[in-house]
Amino acid sequence: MKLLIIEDEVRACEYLKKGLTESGYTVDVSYDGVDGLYQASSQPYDLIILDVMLPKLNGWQVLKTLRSSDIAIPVIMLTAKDQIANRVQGFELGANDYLIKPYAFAELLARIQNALRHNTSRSATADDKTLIVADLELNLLKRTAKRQGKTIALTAKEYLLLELFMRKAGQVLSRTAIASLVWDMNFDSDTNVIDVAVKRLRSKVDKPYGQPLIHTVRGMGYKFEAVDLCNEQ
Amino acid sequence: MSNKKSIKKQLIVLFISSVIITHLLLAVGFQLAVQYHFLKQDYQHIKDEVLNVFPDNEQRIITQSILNYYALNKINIWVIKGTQPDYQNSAVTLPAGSLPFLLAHKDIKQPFNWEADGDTYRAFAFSMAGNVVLVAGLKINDHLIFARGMNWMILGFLSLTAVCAIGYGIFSVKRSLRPLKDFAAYLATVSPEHLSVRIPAKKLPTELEELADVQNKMLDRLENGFQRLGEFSSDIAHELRTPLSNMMTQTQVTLARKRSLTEYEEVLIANVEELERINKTINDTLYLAKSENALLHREDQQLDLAVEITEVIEYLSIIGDEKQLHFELNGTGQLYFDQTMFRRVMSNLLSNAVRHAQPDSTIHVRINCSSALTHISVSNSGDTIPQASLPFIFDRFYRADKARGYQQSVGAGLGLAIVRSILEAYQGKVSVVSGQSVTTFTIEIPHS
Repeated sequence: MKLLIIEDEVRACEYLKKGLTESGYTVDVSYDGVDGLYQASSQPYDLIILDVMLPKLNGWQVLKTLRSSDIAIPVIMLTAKDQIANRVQGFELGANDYLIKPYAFAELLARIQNALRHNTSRSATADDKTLIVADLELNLLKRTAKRQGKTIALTAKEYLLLELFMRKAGQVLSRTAIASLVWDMNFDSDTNVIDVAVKRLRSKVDKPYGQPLIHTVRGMGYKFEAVDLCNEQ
Repeated sequence: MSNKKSIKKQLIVLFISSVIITHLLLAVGFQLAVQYHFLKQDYQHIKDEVLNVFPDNEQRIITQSILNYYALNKINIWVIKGTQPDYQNSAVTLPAGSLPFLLAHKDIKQPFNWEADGDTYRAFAFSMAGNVVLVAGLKINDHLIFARGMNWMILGFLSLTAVCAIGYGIFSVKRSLRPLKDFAAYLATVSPEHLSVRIPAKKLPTELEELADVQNKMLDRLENGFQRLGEFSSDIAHELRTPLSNMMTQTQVTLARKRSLTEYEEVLIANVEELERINKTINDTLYLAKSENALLHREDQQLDLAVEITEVIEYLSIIGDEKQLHFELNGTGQLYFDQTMFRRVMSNLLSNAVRHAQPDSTIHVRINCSSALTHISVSNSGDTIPQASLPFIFDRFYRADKARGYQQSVGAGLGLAIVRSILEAYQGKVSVVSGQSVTTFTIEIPHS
């Protein structure tokens, strides 16, 4: 997967590149609108991360030119300004997603994966009835979970949380994202509800079994992953 | 002269022109009245003189003795037979062209006036027996002299009053507009550093008093706003300084000598946590600023309050369970509100209640809908809020327990401020009562 970052802030660019490279992407960087547009239209990229405030040609103009020349690469816009009008403008011009600075890196990763999945028409790994990660199995129809063949009793929300983790296996989920996706609380609350909820889910899903599946990524959130024991510290 | 409108100029012009127009109208009316009076008098006079001599008013036969009588009494008469003058008893001849008028206006108060040899005459026609018309006239020189005299008098009077009016107009307009200058002088001293200026409305004329009041209220609002802005900046600087100094110390201490990888990792993680807190403070502050300036995007919809509150309770009961807290919801209702904002309000109030409730107690939520208002109260038992703190707990960054300072799960102290500002965006209110180990927050939202 090849990504292009068009962002004039050199340090931000460096770290983005580092982070994305370490997440397994090939990353090219461009520091202004004109050069970015040239690169985007001359080489095949899978996704573009586009800053709005750019020298020479701003992000909107780059996006507009790309879309008007029929280049349908997914584009994620980055901006420091949180204004509805901006957001609407972005989507109208054909942006696939929109992130406000400062954003959590995990969030950006998740959005990238999302946009890429949209683009490549979702590779079906499991059938639509079950989700399986390691020895944990989720029955999507009956809404039940089994680990090592034993049924785990879950409340409705615990089930939803587990389903979210399993669907986004391998991705870091921020607390805000979890609160929004599972409980429909679309704001940061001043509480540690998510931590407590995850702790409880762990006590049911992970504790009785040897291999932990829910991992805390400190400073970022949580990740659901079947990691080999030897890699785990 | 510039084309700019001047109230002073307009008022003076209005004043003078109204004085002149009134006088002119009066003069014209007076003239007409006098002329009509003379006409009536002349007609009556001539009619009496001419017709009284006839023994039989119906017949009116002109005889020689009647003519003699006219001559004796010096009444100028002309006798017209058919359409031709037949007799006259003076040297004054009827002017050409007067006959058709006189013949057409017999026996009515319609005179024919003409001038001859410097004298002005007025004549009336009366029908006599046998297709004969008697025209009788008199000199009206004295009328004209009187009228001319009166015209001069009116003109003189008019000029005098006009001069007086101009003088008085300028004087009084200038005087009554002088408070505007004072007004401007007061306003000229207003600046961001000097917002305490108020215009002494009581000293001003009634019309300006209202304007001054409005200005003063505007100044109140501005002063308030500036003050809040100032407090806001210092609050946020202070609020950000704490996590920043944490990060700085931690990082500098760590860098002071070589550490193990794990230690570096710890510092980075701690830094991210502090940064997240800074980010949240900024986000919340921005949210507050936006909601106070009505910039938040609202998607109002009909909400089933019991359903919404149950959702929030279910969410917060996760931490409530840790303290063995119970929730009890009473009442139902509908409200037209933005869903996220409503949940945010309830979540802030309920998490506050959870935080301060004593373990193993019950948090009560009551919905009370009347036709005009929705009341929702959240009460928890536990330590009460000191009375002295109550007025401030909805202020941003205010913490009743100052010593508690900076704690992990506690936000920047913006939760209740956000509650208030969201409610204010809906013309609602939030209030708190705390005593006898029970603290109750009540929100009140009018149905618009």
